[in-house]
Amino acid sequence: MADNNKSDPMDAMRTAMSDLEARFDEMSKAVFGTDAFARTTGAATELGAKVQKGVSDQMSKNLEFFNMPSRTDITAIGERLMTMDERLVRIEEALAKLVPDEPAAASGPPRTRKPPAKKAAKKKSD
Amino acid sequence: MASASEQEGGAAIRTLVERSIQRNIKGVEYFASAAPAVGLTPKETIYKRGTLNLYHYKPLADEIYRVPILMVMATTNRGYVFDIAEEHSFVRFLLNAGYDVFVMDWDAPRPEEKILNLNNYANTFIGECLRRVREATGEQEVSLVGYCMGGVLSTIYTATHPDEPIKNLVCFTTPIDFSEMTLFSHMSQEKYFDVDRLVDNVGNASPELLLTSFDMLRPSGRAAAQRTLWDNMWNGDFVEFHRKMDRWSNDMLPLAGEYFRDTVKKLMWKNQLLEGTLEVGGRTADIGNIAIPLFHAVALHDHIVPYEASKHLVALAGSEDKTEITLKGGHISLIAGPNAARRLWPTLDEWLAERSV
Repeated sequence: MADNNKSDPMDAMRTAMSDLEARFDEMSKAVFGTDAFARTTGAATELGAKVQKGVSDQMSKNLEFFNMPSRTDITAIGERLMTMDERLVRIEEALAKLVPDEPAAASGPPRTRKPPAKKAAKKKSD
Repeated sequence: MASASEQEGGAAIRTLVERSIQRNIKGVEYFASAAPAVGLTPKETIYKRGTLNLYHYKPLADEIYRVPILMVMATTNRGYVFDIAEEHSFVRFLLNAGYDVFVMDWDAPRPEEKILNLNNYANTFIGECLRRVREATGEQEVSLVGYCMGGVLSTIYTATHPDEPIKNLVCFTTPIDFSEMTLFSHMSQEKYFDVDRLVDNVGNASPELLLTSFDMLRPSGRAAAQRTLWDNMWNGDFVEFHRKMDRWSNDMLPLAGEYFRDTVKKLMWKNQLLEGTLEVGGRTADIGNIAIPLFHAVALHDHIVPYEASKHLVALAGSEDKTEITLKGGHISLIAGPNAARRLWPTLDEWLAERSV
């Protein structure tokens, strides 16, 4: 769908921009590939996680002071619900083994489609 | 009388002016219009469990192949890339070609779902969805189709369940050798990246972290995309498709904490899938255990999963009937958009049709 008109006067500029982007990518990747960059990014990610944890802990204390549930409390309820959900799935699976489901009723189109003859013929010749 | 070159030059300038006018008009429309709708092919959610959704698309053919397809979306992105637009919908193509299509799609994992790990995604979720597909269709055999990390999950499931009635395994751009995903591998080195601290402190890995990592693979990508958009702003079809793909690529999902920890430690650090030492749910995911027909499509210009990372799937699989094809395109254009409609989809249909009866 992109414009491929060969006689477009803007083509030269497009090519120049593409070259520039390619060079920028190469230069950036050379920087990203250094140990110093990996170390700095790792430290920044760790610092971000620490800050997020610190803020979260402080917020929990504040909410506790106001007798309100914190994110941790809500998450704990969610985890308990997940456990119950998993138990239900396991019970459902056990029941399905004890009493296998009836084969699905023949709904929808028939499952009798065959591949087009051309494709079948090609396979035989392979 | 003007020469041919003068006429050609005049026509080019006229086109340039017309496009500039159209660009301005459509540029205003672009900013004024609502986000385009995606994922419109009729479907039913037949199973939902936390982050997991299982869709069943309504068949469009009068007669369908016996073996249904279960597509497994990558855990980093939404599944509507398979159904991005009516005229560029992979799902619709498969439905029209006579397949019964189910898709495993993901919502953002909730904070409490930080405990979901690789075993949950690769074994529990795929196993549950296969059971639902069998219930819905009455067919025991199912073809598994996975894209990117969805391909990794499908590969792990097939390798750890060699006795399951999986009819075919189809993977697109599926990494096996994670050391060859050089930038990801470099940035997540054990000595610099403390994944335990990250997961223990924040739970799920944020989509911003992942989006930044993907952007680093092609730093000029966003600027280049905006330039291409401006250049083609006169073309309504281009703009609409660009907006849909832009929406999708920015609509990244967080990764469940334990799943992220497993991915970094077992796949990135220890490369266990390639080594054949990956244990998931008490079973070893040895790719050599895969004995069913296997189709793997890789992209020639894939900047996310390079060929060096994905080439091992077909090489290691124990299947006698295995095919690897390399098609022009990138990581996303391989499966979605006009190029995919011309290249991958018909090639896959040709391969899969005779193996779906």
